[in-house]
Amino acid sequence: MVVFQNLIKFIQVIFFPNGMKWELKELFSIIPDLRNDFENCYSTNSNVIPIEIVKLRNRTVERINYDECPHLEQNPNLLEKINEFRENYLRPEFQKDRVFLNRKIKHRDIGVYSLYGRKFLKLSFEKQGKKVNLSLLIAMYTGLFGLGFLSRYNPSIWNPFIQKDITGEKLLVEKFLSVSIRHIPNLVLNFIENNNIHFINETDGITDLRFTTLSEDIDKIVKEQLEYLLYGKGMKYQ
Amino acid sequence: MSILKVAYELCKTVIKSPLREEVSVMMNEIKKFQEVQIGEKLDKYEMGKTIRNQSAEKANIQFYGYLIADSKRKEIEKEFNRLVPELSQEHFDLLTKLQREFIFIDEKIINLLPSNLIHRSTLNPYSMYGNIVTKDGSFKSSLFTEEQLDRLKSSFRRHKGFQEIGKIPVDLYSELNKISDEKIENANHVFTDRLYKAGVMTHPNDMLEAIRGAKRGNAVIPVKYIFSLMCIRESIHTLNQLIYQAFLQDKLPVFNEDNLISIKSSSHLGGKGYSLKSQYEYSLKPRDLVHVIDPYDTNPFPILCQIESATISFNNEFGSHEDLKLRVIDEDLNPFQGILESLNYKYK
Repeated sequence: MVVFQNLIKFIQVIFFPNGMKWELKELFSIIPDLRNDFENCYSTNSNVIPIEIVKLRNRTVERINYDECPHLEQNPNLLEKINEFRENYLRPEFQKDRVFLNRKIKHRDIGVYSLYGRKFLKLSFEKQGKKVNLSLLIAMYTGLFGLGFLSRYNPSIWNPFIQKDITGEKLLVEKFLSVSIRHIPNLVLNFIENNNIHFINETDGITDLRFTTLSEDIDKIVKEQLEYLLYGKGMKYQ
Repeated sequence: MSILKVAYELCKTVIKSPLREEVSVMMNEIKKFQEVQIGEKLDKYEMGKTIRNQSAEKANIQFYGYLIADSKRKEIEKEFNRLVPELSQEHFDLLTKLQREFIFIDEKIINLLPSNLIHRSTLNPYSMYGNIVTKDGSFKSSLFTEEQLDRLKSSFRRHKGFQEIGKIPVDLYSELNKISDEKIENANHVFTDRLYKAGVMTHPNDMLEAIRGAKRGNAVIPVKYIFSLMCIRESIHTLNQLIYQAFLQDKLPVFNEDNLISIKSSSHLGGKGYSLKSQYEYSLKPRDLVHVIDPYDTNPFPILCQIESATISFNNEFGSHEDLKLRVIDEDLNPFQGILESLNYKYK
């Protein structure tokens, strides 16, 4: 009964646009774990932007480093292509080496995560003049369906590709299959549990400085201590 | 109509007034003027931040700050070893005219104090800044109509401070009049200082003790009287600041879900306060007025607040942000709304 209820809920929320043509390349472009192989294979930018989460003592900031995403430096408007970006993030702050993103107070996590727990922001597609946001799960299912269809009904295309590919795309397809095998059950579990569950010991892309004393913390402590000594304001540090 | 609503109406009048354009030109010239007159090479970034403007703004007394800074030009020059430009006669006249407007409005409110109480001057928010511009009996406001000022007066009649003073038996006035203006001003200064030093998220513990002591020692009436005067004076200051900002800004700076990183609120004896972390957007200084729309609050209306401290952090590792402490201003334009309620005393 619970499984059935979850299935109904799942069918209600999945979105797959009808009447639009999708290429495997497009589907691969939004899968975080394929990002490096995708960019090496096709020499083009993928549609996911890697995020570094920095946890500070009194706030959390997300940053995009230009060395990981150089095309963002040339095209800052790229962030506008992220679905619900404005609803969930404050105005981005562009600095020399990176972009800082502050979450809105009532923020919803719109990121997608790699198997190693690294956060990415997914760009939406432009299809028939509309902004289309494809979920990771649907992208994987569609990719698998496409590959299954190709191997079953078009062996004249599939077999030479498997036997003679020298472009490296075959390796990307293999990686896609292994990522899907590992990721799809995890995504379904996340959906059922309404949580981001990672089966890893150490999460990638998170810098935790909550228990580190930074220079700005020292400045604050000195200021507060002085205020306490001079005016009796605030708390005395032990 | 509440004082706040009447004050907003006055601001709308200021925004439409032709005087506003003159003020805008003057303020631009005051900042540009220094660059020419000083005769030193100033970095463009530093242009608007010369010592005179800083001194004028730091005083938090609206246009009057520029007149004070101008009068103390020689002292500033001596102290900082810099040349400080003199205000042109045209600017001096306009600043004086603006200050007369403020004095004129303030007088209407100050005169609401019962005539047999002597402490009028303690309600004047400019009382401790000398008499560069004095009261002019023949002055008529070119900004506001008599009807608008009457509305302001009747709204201030319902100010909790005036209400509390109104409850004091008339036969006690002679006792209250024995307290000198200086003592009242000193007490006001000590109380406000305590409140500001305690910050916006709490109240000063010694003040609570003073209130308890006043209740035990049957000294509630003088303490409440002093608190009432203090709150009325703060409300007048807030009104002046609101009108001043209407001259310079079309809208008050707003902190809402589009620029807030975090927000905490607190209610205490001194009133209500907010501690915010926001994206750096506005250049703010203490006692500037802003609007806050608390994303956690079900009330969608902006809450008027006064800046108590603003600290900007620029960091190329973690991005920039601004830490702000704000005091909530109530419908009476009073930042210390809890103070009067703290002395719950029934008059016989």
